[in-house]
Amino acid sequence: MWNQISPAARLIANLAAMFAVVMVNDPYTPTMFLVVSIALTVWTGVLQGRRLVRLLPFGFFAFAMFWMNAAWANVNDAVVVATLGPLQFTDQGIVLGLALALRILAVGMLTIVFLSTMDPTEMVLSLVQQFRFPPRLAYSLMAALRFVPTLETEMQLIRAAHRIRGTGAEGRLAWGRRLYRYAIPLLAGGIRRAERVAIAMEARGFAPQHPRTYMRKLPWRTSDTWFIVASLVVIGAIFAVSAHMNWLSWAWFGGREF
Amino acid sequence: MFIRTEGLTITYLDAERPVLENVDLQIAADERILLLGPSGAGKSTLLYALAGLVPRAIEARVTGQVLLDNRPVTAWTPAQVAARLGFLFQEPESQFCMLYPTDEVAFGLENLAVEPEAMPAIIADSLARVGLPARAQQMRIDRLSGGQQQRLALAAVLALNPSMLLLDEPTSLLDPAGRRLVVESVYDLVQDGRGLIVVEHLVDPWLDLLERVIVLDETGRVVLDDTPTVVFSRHRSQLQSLGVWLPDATVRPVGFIGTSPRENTHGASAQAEPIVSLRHVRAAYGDGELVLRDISLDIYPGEFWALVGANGSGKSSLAKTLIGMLTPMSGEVLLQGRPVHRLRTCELTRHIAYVFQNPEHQFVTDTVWGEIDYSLKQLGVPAEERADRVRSVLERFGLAEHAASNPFALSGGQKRRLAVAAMLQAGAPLLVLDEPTFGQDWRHAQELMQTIARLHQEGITILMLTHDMNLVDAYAEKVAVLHEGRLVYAGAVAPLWSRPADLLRWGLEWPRSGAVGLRERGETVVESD
Repeated sequence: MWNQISPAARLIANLAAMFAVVMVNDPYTPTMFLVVSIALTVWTGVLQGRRLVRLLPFGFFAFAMFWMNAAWANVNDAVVVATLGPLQFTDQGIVLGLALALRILAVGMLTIVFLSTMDPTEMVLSLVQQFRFPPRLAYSLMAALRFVPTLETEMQLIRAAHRIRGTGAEGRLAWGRRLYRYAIPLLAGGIRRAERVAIAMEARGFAPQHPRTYMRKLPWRTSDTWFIVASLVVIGAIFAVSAHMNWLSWAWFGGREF
Repeated sequence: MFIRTEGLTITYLDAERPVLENVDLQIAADERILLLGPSGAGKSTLLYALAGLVPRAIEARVTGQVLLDNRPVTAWTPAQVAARLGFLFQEPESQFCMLYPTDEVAFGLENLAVEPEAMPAIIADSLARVGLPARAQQMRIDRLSGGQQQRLALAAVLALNPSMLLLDEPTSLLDPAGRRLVVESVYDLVQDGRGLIVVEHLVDPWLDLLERVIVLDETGRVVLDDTPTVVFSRHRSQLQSLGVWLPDATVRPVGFIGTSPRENTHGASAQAEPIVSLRHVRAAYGDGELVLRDISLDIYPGEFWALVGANGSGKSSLAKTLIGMLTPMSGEVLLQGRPVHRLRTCELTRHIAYVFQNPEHQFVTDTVWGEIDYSLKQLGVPAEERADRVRSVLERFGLAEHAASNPFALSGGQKRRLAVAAMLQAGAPLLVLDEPTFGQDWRHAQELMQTIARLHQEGITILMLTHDMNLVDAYAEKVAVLHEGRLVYAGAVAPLWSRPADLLRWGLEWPRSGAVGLRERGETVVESD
């Protein structure tokens, strides 16, 4: 059923959820987002359980944030609850760190759900057909997307090509200069490629000002609207529970201090 | 008349003189035409102009006119042009804008506003007609081989059912196996009476198709326009003086070698220490499959080796082990007896000069002068000596007049010469070249090869990765063939040509007939330039 929902609708729902997560700074609300999104996606089979491995990098980042805040958060009237060598972990620091860490995990989870269920072609077509995205921009985006994997390989080649000319010997100070030197061939190549693609597209009859058809039609269905409504309801419900339990704390308008 | 040009003159905005001058042509829709001429003669520009891409997509001053189906080509919409002329470009991967083959073919149909319901059948038919295998049709475009990508591009233009195909050097960036794929497909497609205009430096594979040859000279004027028989037999010397590749079994295409260097080198060097020595090298990228399977190879000082094999056979990987870009899982890579992984970068440059496939990757300054100066500076040459040395190096490599130019502004051949010159300053006895002539026209390729041959005669050991068997035949003394990561042949060049079945299996091809065997018969080769 997930596949039948327009990518644009999924994008909207996803952005709404992410926005909601970054709006709060208590640890409970993002936990609920995390649990609910895992439950909804894994248990309904949208995301295979083992894909959750992708949360790991977010996990490391989250743990680092937690650790830093727990030990060094700038808080008033904090009580030291534990020490490890020179590190002093405060109660408020731990809560603050936990809230941050959970927000990172929740955002990570939402990103993973979105990216692993998204088909880039459908995303672009959906933007063009449902949101009147200019085709020239959209197709350029598609073409650019194709070159992303080659960039890394090219970067490695350039680095090796420079190293064998002896550029390593200049020392660390020169790294900014070196980066600039790497960028020139990458950019030159990129621009030339973009020009060639644009010419090739025109040769195949692409002219955005003229009417064109689409093989894959992605009409906006009522189910898409309902999907967004349902997502908003779930988000609202999480907030309601959080507020009811007196957990909710807003991040941006002078939220309550823990 | 399907296409008519009248007094067509085209000048690019930054150029002083026109690239095409006063071109009058009449072309019927079912004609099969070869467009010949030296580099800079405006062959590609003419194709672009016929399709209205000049001046629509590429800015230029155009006088005179191009009529397509009795209307100025620019009066048609791009879609209307695309329905009449199918354009195939040189570089496979930069003519696509979608991720998967089906979407790519659909893209053109969508531009022509074809009914979506009709598309799947047209797409399936086009992909089948160019012979793209079913498995490849499901793959992401960037995972396809170059030959398959060109077939896909052909399918994409074929879907629009154009009357004529315009092919702009469609095989010049492909390996021999890929080239065969494309040529075969085109042969199939023109059976139904479709016309064809092809620009290609390597003429031979197309000969059987052609009915007419149009030759442009350096100034962009039409100098010959006749049947292939007339052009290639009666105007041979004119073509030769233009620097155009001749498709003839009797003409030696390349010819630097006056005295045959093949005999003397090995005997003299057998006792010497190898300059490169690979011992049971096995290598892979990450956890991937082995790309090099137990390779052992010795290269002795003064030799000229070619390293050949189909795409993905492990050529580049092997070359990468020589500069430590790829570390073997087991086995050893020795440069003059020292393991590569023990050499520091600055030592490495004294053992090996390595010219990458894209020479732009190696430029580290903003001027041609600066590139050579940089290399000398790295060596610790004092500033007052450098100026003279830079000047003489640029002189030697024919780059003196470009001293102040930006390296990125040079032509493809000049860029490679500059990269070779810059790399050699550290005094390395070994020069490794990755596809030195790839994507270059014949004349520039020749100039570069002459430079390399001269360096070889001066005692530099050469290892050249290439797809071009003509270069192997004309220049190399020894050849190493890689096939699926294994070294399947290493030795003298001539015996390789007597194994046609193996050549085919390894994804290689014969050098053009005229080139084969000349050396064995001991005939002297004359320079054709």
